[in-house]
Amino acid sequence: MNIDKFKPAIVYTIYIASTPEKVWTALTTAEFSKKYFSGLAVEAELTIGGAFIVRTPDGSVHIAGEVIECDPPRKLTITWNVNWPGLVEKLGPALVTYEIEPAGDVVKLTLIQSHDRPIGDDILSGGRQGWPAILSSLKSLLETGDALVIKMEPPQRMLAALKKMGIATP
Amino acid sequence: MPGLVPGIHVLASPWEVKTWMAGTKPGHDESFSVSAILLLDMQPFGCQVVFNIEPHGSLVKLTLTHEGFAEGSELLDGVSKGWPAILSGLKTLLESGTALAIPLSALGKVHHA
Repeated sequence: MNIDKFKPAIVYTIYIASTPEKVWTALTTAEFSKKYFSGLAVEAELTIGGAFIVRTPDGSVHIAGEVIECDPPRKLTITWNVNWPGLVEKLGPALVTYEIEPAGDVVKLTLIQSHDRPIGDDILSGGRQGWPAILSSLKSLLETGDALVIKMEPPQRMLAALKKMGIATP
Repeated sequence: MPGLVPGIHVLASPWEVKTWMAGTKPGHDESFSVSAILLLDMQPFGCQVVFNIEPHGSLVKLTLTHEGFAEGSELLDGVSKGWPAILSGLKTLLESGTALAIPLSALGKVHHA
């Protein structure tokens, strides 16, 4: 897959009092993701071309992706395709890159969501609502041992935009 | 304004605090129902910073918006590196009592969305 044509649409940076190895593990294992990511389980086959799956608590596949770049514990790029009928066909694939860098005694984590075509603000509002909550909770989990309990409303603006495009949403 | 969030207006200096709003939402416990907006007009840069503080269950959702930059502004590059470090440090300070020590040299490059 040629990722050169993908451009960043959403970028968040967060600093975490932790180690790159722990941040990497938290991003790639279900044991951690279930705590900070609304109960969702990350299953990552950490090799280029490996599967990257995110499951809902009932076991169904929410995100079906593939590992594109894998350089533990520094960089992970995956396709992040939400498993809703017609979504990838209409919007193209989404790429998510995690960059993990030491910053003095702490860790700088940068999340980049990229697309190969222009994506409207209505669609991007989903990521803009979700990522800060996920990253804030991940930071709290690694720093204090407890994730945040964040009650999230469904991303109505994004869901309405998807529905308008004929994409089936739950 | 004084007493709502003690000390936060220190952030305004030397900039002018343009607006401060606080309100309560019906049906919520008073102690968790205060929303606040702090708007700083950052003369002479011509840009504005808004802190929006909202209760979110037992948590707080802080949204920072910094806008009004001139085309190709170098200030935008600088604040894009600075704000994540400041907000990350603030979160750790409020949750654990100790701020993060983030070296300036670590702020590094900025990815533009």
